[in-house]
Amino acid sequence: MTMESVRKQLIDIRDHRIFLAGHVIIRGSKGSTSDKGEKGGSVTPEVVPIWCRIFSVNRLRALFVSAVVAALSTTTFAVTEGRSTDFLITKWTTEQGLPQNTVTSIVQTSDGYIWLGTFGGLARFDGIRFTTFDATTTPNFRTNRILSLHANPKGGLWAGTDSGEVYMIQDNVLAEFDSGLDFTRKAVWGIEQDGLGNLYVSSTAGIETVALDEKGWPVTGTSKILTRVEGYKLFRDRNERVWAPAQGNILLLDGSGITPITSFGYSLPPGGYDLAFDDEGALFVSAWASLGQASPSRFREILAVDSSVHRTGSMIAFAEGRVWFQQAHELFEIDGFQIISHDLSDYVRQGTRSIFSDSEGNLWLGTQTEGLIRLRRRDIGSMSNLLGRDLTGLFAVVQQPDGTIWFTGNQLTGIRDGQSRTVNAVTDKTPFPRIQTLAVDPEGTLFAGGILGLYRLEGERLAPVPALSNRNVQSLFFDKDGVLWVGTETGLVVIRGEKLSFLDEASGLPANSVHFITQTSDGLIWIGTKNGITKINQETLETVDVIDNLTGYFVRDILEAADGSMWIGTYGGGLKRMKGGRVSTVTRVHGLPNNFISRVLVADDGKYWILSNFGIFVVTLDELNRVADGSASVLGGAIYSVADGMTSSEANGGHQPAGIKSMDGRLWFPMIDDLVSIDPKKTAAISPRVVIENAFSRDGGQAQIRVPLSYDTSKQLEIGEGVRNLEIEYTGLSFTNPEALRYVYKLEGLDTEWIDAGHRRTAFYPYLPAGNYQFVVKALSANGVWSETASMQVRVAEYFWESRWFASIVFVAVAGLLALVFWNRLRQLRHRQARRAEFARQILFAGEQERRRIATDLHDGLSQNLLLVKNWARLAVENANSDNAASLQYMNRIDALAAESINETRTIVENLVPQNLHRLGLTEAILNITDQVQDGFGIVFEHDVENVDGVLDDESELSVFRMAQEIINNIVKHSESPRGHLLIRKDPKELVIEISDFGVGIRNNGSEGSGLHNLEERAELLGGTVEFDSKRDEGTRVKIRVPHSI
Amino acid sequence: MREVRLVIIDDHPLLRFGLRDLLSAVPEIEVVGEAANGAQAIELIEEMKPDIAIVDVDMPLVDGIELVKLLRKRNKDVEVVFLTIHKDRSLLRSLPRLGVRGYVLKESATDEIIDCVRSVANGERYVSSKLEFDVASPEVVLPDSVDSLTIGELRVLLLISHSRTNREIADELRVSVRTVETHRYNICAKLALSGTHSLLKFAVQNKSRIAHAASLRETT
Repeated sequence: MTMESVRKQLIDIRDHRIFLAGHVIIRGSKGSTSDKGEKGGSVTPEVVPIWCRIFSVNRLRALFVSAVVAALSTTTFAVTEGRSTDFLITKWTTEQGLPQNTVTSIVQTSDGYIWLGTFGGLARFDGIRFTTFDATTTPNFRTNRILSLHANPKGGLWAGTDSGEVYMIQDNVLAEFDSGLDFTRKAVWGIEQDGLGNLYVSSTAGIETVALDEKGWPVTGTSKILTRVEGYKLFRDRNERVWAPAQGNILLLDGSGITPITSFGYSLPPGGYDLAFDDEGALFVSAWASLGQASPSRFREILAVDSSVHRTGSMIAFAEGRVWFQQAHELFEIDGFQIISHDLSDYVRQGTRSIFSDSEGNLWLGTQTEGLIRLRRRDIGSMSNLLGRDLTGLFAVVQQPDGTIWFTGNQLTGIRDGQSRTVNAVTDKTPFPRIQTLAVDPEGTLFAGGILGLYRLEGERLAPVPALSNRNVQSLFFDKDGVLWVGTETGLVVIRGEKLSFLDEASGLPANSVHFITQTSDGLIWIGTKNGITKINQETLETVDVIDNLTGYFVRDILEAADGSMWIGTYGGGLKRMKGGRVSTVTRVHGLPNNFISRVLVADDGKYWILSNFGIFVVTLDELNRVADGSASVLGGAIYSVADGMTSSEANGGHQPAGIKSMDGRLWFPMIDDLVSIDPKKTAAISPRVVIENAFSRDGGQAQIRVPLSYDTSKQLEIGEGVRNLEIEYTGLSFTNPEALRYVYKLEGLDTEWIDAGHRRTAFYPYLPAGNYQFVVKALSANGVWSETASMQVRVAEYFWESRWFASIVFVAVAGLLALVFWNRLRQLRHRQARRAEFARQILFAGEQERRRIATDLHDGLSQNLLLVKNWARLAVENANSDNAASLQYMNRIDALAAESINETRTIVENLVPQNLHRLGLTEAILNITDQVQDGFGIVFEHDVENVDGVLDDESELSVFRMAQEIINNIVKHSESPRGHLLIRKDPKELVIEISDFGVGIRNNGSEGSGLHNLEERAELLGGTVEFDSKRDEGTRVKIRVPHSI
Repeated sequence: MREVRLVIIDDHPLLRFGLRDLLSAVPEIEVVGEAANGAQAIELIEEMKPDIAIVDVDMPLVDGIELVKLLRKRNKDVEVVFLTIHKDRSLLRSLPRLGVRGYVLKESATDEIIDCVRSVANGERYVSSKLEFDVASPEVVLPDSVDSLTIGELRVLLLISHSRTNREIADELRVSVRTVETHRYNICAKLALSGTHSLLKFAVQNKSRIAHAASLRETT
């Protein structure tokens, strides 16, 4: 039984009827226990175990409803709420380097990179860094608005823009695709290739096709227009056919023509369509107001879609075995008849333009306006998540032969086949004790040890074993002969049939407190105590050997490795290896998370899983041995911790067994507040790729050109004479946990050892002697898998400074220099004036940049936080008890104050970045300021305004806008005027803006003075003037004149 | 009812198709064309001469605002309804000057979009209810408090509401500027207003109510 099957059964409701009995749901169709369940809320303990269907609290209602509905009709879909903890979610926006926050398309090219189409250009993503290709950085690119992408299996990347261009990047070349047809393409919504090698380009002007050759280049003369009907996105089914939704129908495209899907008898709901094909060929259609499955017989609706929300961005896709549909803040996971809705409102509210699943199974959402989102299904199963309740103080876990996993804490819980049962009573009416240790006897009976003694499970209760009552039992172990070894705080008890033997310090144990017991292949019993290890003869109970080197160590785990060495987990002393009578130690210094080791398990693939107080560490035995032998100093392993979805990285430990490998190969560890399960098969699957991106030298201006795709490693990098340094940029491509990738590299010919670069993605060689080299690099993934190496040849040429050629250059240079000094001086004087003006302009520009940064920070940071404060305050109000009126009142105040603060922040942002200037134009933007002042302060403006948009260039418009803003602000702050007058006029040679008030006039105080000075400076930079005309108690008139050339 | 001829201008085909289906289902509305950006829209509007254009504000090449400006420049008398995902207060303020009578959010209910088209077709203004709520200014004081003002204070307040300066008020009422200042001070105290701008804002926002109170007092 696996966690997956638990989950699967949880959501697959078709086969089982479900009965509701008090707070317990009991599955009815299997087993004979359903009748018992229907009796009601107080389920009486009986010999027959009562299995509870596992459910989370918020799921109970949905499950019940869906069960009733399912009983009535077999084709009804029910939506269940997913849990926020189902995924690990990461979001990237422009803050993190995404070129723009509308992500129209996502693909992964065959070299492993993820590419993103945005309205700010094309971005290549390695999991950490975005490399942007746009009109400013990339020759040939004419627009930044990418609407569609296609990753060709042959290796090429195709991009369509919303102004009709189609670009392809292949073999490190960026080219524009020209069909050669007399056809003006418009917004390109889709590019896709079918199984026959035909590429299709769908734009609002129609759909074209072209054949691709072996290497993925278009074949001249094969271009053809299939239809002039307005096209939208293109979708590929599992048979590699391409489908195009177009005006009320869905067209099947082939190299020669189109066939509407309605001609196959399909009926479709109204509206335009997004499509997804599942792996069985079923067609899912997301339409204007409905999402459903289309088939020749009928359209079966799965989900009614709120069309008002739908309009703001939605997308459907098939990935990871199920259909995903995203709109507004919700992600729907459609699996068979069950729909799980995940609330993503902390990440996306305006919907999605693209859904993509990468080669590692991560789900990516390209949102409408809110950046890029990665959803990563948790590798680590969480029992508290599965049960929907908090777990605390877990100590031990075991598995019975029937597959039941039992774990302890304040109660004893077992899970099997998606059902759980809880034991929290003792047969003799004493209080239920804290259970710390578990073991299963050869017949499959569960034994539990706790602070009040030893018990065996009988039905639904624990039956005390009288001989051990009131002993604090810390460890339990059944040896090969079925003898039960009981480790207590006050000594060791051996139960052989009816016979009990007691051992303690007096009879030779190094300490009374026994925490771990095991048997090695030679039949000896190893006893781990608070003060080291002793080995005991299983028959005679005589001490065979006390391991002197471990005296003083608190032993928590003992493992016999396949090579006969013993591995011992200690509390504070790290991991010890005993081999041939010698003890060596592996600690935090070598890369363990810390020195408190409670359990070591060997997975089916031979890897060692080490439970520490700071997370779970996985490493090969080879690596461990190398460190223990002293031949290596660093462990190449990986840590699983909170970052991978664990609620806590801390293990309880100290009781047996603090972790097991279940029959299906899964590893289970009791952590301080959860039981986690890890499937090593899954975690091992990801092996990263490493790519050399770029190589260049910083000397002598001979830097290599940055290449659009990865560096062409088939070519040798030549470094010219006089250049001796080299910088190489590489990156690892793994999207599951890219931050955790570690790198090692080596320049063969110079380095003798691998150099551990940690997470660094650059290799730097400050001085290279002339010669031939090979650079090699490889990456280590978070779960301890090495990539293949990437390599590149480097040749450094010899110096040339003794050549005649060099000498003549020196002569020419000296003569030239004299001339240059003279000429340069002249030029300096001539341009000094211009530079000074340019400098001032740059300062202003830098100021604008800074304002933009502050505005972004305020908008993305403070505003969002305030919004959270407001929402939480509202939640608190909604959930509050009515009898706490004072708190309620404060919560309402917090809510109101937060709302006010959000508005204030918004105003500040508006003032910082004059977006209105670009959106509305100069004239309207200035009028808008006067409107704001009227709304906010009651100062009424009269207007005498002529449209002057486009009279000045952008930079000058911004300056004029700032001046107007300053003047109007001064009126608000200082004038005390109840009204104002705004005049904007275009004279033949100059633009005139005159702003007047009827207030107190300019008084000479400091703050006003500097404001006026700013105005004068700005006007001067524009080659214009500013005049002030102010009379005490009559008002002020400020007149700006700026020359124009229109 | 006369049929309303309408065009839809939006760069996203799904939205356009959906909106077309939605509006075509309304008896008195006829969708006569669609365009994906402002540039195409100009040709479409010149050719079809629709009554109303539903225009997405954010579009490539020529955006909604630019389109409206171009239409006005060419004296096209088509009514424009803005459809957008942004709650943009600045844009809302500028609507009258741009000659745009309808402003609806893409997230608003479909009924609201239809209502908006009907209202604009009847020559009315229509702004999404969600937006009206955003820009509405809260009432500052209860009407009763105006009654506590003396006739002198009320006259001053009335003139403040007409955006007069202290000197202008003094001249008009034939009193000294000092007297006007005293009245202002007392009005602020009685209406619990602090600062110059709050009195002015109150006066301008409650202009008609103040005029009404003053006329009542003058006649009694």
